[in-house]
Amino acid sequence: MNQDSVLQASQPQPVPRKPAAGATRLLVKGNWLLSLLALILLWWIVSSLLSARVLPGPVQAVEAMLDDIKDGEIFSHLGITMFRVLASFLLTMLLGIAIGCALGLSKKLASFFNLWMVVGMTIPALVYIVVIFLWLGLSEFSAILAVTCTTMFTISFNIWEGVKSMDKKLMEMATIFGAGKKLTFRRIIIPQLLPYIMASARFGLGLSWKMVIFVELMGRPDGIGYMINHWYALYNMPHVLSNAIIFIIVMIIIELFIGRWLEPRLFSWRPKSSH
Amino acid sequence: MNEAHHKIEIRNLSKSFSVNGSSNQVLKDIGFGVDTGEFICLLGSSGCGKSTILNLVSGLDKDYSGEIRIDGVPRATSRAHLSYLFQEPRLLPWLTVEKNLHFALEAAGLPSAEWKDRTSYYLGMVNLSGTEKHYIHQLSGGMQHRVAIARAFCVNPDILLMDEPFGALDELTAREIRANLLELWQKDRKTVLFVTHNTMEATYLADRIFMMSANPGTIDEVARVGLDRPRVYESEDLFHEHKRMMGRFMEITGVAI
Repeated sequence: MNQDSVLQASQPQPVPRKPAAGATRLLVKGNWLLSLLALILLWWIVSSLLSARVLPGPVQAVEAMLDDIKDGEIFSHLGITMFRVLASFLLTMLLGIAIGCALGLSKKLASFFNLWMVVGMTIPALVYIVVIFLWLGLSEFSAILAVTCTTMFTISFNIWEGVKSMDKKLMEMATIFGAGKKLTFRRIIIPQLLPYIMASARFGLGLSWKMVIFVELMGRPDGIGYMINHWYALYNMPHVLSNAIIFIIVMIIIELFIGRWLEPRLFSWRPKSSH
Repeated sequence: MNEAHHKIEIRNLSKSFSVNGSSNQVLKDIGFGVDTGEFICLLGSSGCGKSTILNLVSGLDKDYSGEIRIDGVPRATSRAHLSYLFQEPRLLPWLTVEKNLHFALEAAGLPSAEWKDRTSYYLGMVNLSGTEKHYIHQLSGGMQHRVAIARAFCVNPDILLMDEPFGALDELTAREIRANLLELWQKDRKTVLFVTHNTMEATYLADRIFMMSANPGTIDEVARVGLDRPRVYESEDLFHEHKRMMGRFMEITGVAI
């Protein structure tokens, strides 16, 4: 899992032109209830073949979850993890959009910094985390910065791609009709970048939360990642699963909110048939 | 405004660019004057540089030798408001029809109090009343071109530039929209520079036709269309005038059938 997210962080991800992919579509378009039951069934079958210490069944996991929820401590960990995800996600998007726009609009900047971007993106997440913790100490700021570094370059690349693919003919039209910078930005540039920003946001959010869990495990005294590590050290698999599942549920709810509520509102001008 | 000046005045306009070291002259010694309210067609086969003239007048292309003046003011310093009809409608798909016109009105700096009236007037003129809240993809190709015409006129431009705007439409739709365009133009009497390779279209629309030949692009003949307005596309008069124009155009381009 950690290895997996490190790999993901170091590869440019193609951004779909129509950002309808991701968990939302799977959950909405598919027969999700049947699919969920099948997943739980599979889990139950595999767990009955293995010992409970290796893979607890769904019943034990739910018991552990109820236990955690009753105890209440999980919520403060969930809260601090969500704060880290949000902070590093916002920082990533802010820097990613700024860098992506700068590179997309200036050929000089792009040709100079292209190499830096590739290097920045190829450095493994683990290196960022270790180096930043060593230099800046095991602080909240270091944790958020480390996550931002691992995700920022990929997001910048995606936004850069978006800026490059903007329709020059519409820019010409705006120029001839005398549109100023502000109007051009609001009516021509932002609407064209929005699909790329949204696709990057969903991808960036997914990447950020995986990295936050990892960073918490490496150098924070609280948060879901810390708790998972804690239960892992006690060989308590039901609680490892319980923590992971609670967090996954929260992230799916956020993802659903973006896909089902936010995006349809942002892209209401699109022909419905394209989905 | 000084009436001694032409609306558009072009003198000794030349343009060339080099491809792989060899210089290629696109325009050579172009010179003409267009009066306020005149409808001019630039007629020529593809590659004669007629669209290049539009790009130079529009200010998109700033690389040329010679002189371009609008109302007597050099192009580079002119603050004239221009509108453009492109080959494609070039509307903003994320905005409604109404908001597309508002975009142009805001760009032209017209007070927002006027937007609503201007929008509904010009949409009415191109028979699109009731489509204000539609998105662009909900309109047919012909309707999109009509929105583009309404957008071009609603900003009260000094000059309207049109670059083969109806080339991609089927002939019946194109005729309908040309009639629409003339109707609007006869009310507003804007100065129009219209690029086409279609002799019939030029004869139907223009006061004068500037006939061009290629390699290098030159204006070889200025022909005045001897037809009264309003004109009727299917009329005998237009048919005969078109034949006359076609004959002169074939002469200058050296084509014989």
